[in-house]
This record gives sequence, C-alpha cells and structure tokens, in this order.
Amino acid sequence: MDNVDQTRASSNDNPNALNLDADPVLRIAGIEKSFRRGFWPRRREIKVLRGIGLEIGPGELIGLVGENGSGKSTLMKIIVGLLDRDAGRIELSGSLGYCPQIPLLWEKLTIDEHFELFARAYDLGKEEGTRSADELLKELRFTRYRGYRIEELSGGTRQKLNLALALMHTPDLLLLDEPYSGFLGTGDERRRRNRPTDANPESGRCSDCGRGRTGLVGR
Amino acid sequence: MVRALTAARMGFREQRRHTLLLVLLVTVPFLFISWSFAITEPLPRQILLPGGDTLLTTMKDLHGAIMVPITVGFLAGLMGLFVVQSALESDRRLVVAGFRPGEVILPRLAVLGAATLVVLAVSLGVTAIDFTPASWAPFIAGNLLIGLIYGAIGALAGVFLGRLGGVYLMFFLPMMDIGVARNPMFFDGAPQGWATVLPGYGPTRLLLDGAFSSSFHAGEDLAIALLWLAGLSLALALLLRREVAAER
Repeated sequence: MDNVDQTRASSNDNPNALNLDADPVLRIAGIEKSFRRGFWPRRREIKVLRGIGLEIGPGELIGLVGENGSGKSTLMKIIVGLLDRDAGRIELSGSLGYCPQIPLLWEKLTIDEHFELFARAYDLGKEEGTRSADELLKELRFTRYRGYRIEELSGGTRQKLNLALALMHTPDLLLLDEPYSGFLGTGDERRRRNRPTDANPESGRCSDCGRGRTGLVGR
Repeated sequence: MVRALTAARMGFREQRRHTLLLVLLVTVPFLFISWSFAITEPLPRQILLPGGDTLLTTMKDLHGAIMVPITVGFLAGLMGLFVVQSALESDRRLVVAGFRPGEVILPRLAVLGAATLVVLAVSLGVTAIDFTPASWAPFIAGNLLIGLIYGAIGALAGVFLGRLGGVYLMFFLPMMDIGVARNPMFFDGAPQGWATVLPGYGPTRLLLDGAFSSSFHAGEDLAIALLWLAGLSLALALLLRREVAAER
C-alpha cells in the first residue's frame, strides 16, 4: 500500500454529523513497514506500507479497500499498537475501539466474562458495563449465548462478540478489521450491511461498516 | 489493582475449565512416581551426597525420589507453556483496550505459580505413600524450585518456539536434565561437568540432600537454584512485557 486515497463521507444522512473543521481524532503520517521472512538463501524483505498518511475527523467513516496482502490489517495493527512500525508518526486523541480480523478471545471464558474483562479495561463501572453489554447483545442478536463459552460458539457468534467488545465503551475512534467475516445475520441485517455507511455518531457506534472490507470510523 | 484481580480471577477460572489438563496434573504423578516405586528392584546402590558423604541406599528409593522432580519439571513446564502461550494474543488485545502490561502479566504468573503448587502437592502426596525423605524441607524446596524453574522455561519456550516446539522441548529437557544428566542411578551422584550448567543441577542436588540426609549440606546448590530462578523470572517478565505491550 503506497498511500490512502482519502474520501470523506458523512457517517449518516444528517449533514450536521460531520465537522470537517474539528481537530482530527487520528492523524498518521509517513507510516512505513516491512516484514523480513525466511532464512538465507530464501531470506526476503516484503515492503508492505510505504509512507501512509491519513486523517480522521469526528464523525468520519473511512473504508480501506485493497487486495489481499496490501497491508490493511497491518496498518490497523500499527495504529492500535499491536505491531511496531519502521517509520512514521501516529497522533491519536480520545479512546480507541479495535475489532481485530481474527477474534482474539479466551476459549474457556463465557461471553459475559469477556464483557466483564473489557469493562474493566475500559474503566466502565459495573452498571455501565452491564448496560452496554445488554444493549450490544440485543442489538447484535446473541443474547441467548451470553452464558456460553467461546469454544461452544459458532464462528459468526464469535465475530459478533469480537465486534461488541470493540464497541462497548463507545470509543472516539473505532477500527474495524473485516468485522463481518463469518458473520451472517438475519435478512434485515444483511440488507443494512449493503448500505454504504451506517455509523451512528450519536452513540459512537458503527453497526455497519459499508462495503469496505476494512474500515476506520472516527467520531 | 482491580484490573489485575479481575484478570487473575478469569485466569484461574479459565485453567479450572481445562478438564483434560487437570486430569493430567493428577494422573501423571500417580503414573510416573508410583509406577517407578512399584517396578524397581530394591537393589543396593551407593551414591555421593552434597557435602561429600557417601550413602548406601536402594535403587527403588533412588528411582522413586528422582521421578518426583522429573514429573514436577515436566508438568510445570507444560503448564508454563500453555498458560502463557495460549493467552498471549488475547492478552495483547486486553492491553490495547486499556490494561497495563503488568496487570496482565502478573495474573498469568500467579496462575502458573498456583499450577506448579498443585503439581507439587500431588507429586509429594503420591511420593509419601512409598517413600519418606530423610528431611522434608529441602526435598520440598528442591522440587518447588524445579517446578518454578521449568514453569518459566516452558513459558519462554512457548513464546520462542510456539506450542508444538515448546511441547517437544518439555518432553526432552526435563528428562535429559534431571532424569539422565545428574541421575545418581547412572552416575555416582556427582554430576558430570557439563551437567552442572543445566537448570536442574542446583534444585536436584538440594532435593537429593533432603531425600537421603537428615542434615543440610546443600547451601551452595540452593543458591545456584535461586540464581537460575531469579534469572529466568526476570527474562520471562521482560519478554512478556515486550510481547504484550502496545507500541505507540
């Protein structure tokens, strides 16, 4: 990935939702990343990101679209801090929600126990954490599985939890890396997902991430 | 602190739900230790103890006593491997979400320490059926140190070698280190030069002193074992911090 063709899109139909004059929630510049793989004589250096720059303002939704291996997930991981970068600058103001491409969950813990852990991570009080979890379970329609362990869940339900954990603290910046992989909902949900954007800047939650396989949502 | 306690609670709960692992922790000591006592003939065997004394004992007692640290080292190593390796990626996500690295690492180490104590308790309980050490304190201390040292080695192996490579190492290393390199059944109790640089040297000498001598002669061996434990614990803490910390 050489650079991002940044097109600003309002996150819903309300023109007041997007404030282009406001300070960006995320500003990145000159991000570079290479991976070194294999041993001599098959040692290779793969340059993935070359001088990526990007700004996301409050209420903005940006989709990153690219071929397999183009560096979408790598860029996300660098922004959240899961990967080190070779060069570049990242300025992030406000809280962060991250939904990784592969659900990073604990197989032996239940859905409710995951919500409890992440409520602690986000410094949510007990009541606030429970309320947020209840809302998300209802919104994403997996309340009946709340007492199930992850090992007992289907791939789609795992992905719902993966997404819900990123949303539960109403983050200022939301990074969704293929949030719908393996995720089949009802007909209504599928139709809604085909709409370009369905972010809700009032709640800070983005139920849908448009058609982009990887999305960044600023609020 | 509240976060660390929540993480510890979840960590213990998670391990408690690994039914197969719990079965392994209880049955392996019974199989390894009791079987060793049962199948070994009580033939006389002279060994050299720490402090220079020689002792006439039996192969049966020797085999049983040396199977305790092999069992503890093997199981603690596997626990270290699984406790740390299986949760590493998810723990990183927790750090991204707001936990401090220490609030994730300390609970994992607490779980590992507790698992080592379970392995030790079961192994000593099984041993007590067939064998009474001359002095329990050094025997317990030596085995505890073996468990902690190999628990740390298992955790490090999990990070560097992955699950499969770590399991291979845990099958091989405790058996070579404790079961072959310094086993008084093969040598006279004074390990070969190369065996003294392996992690099991200090604690095994300590526990053999406790197993066969009522007076304590293994101060130097205890110090070596503590040095190994301190070095490995530090390496593990630094490595885990690097692995889970968010890069910003």
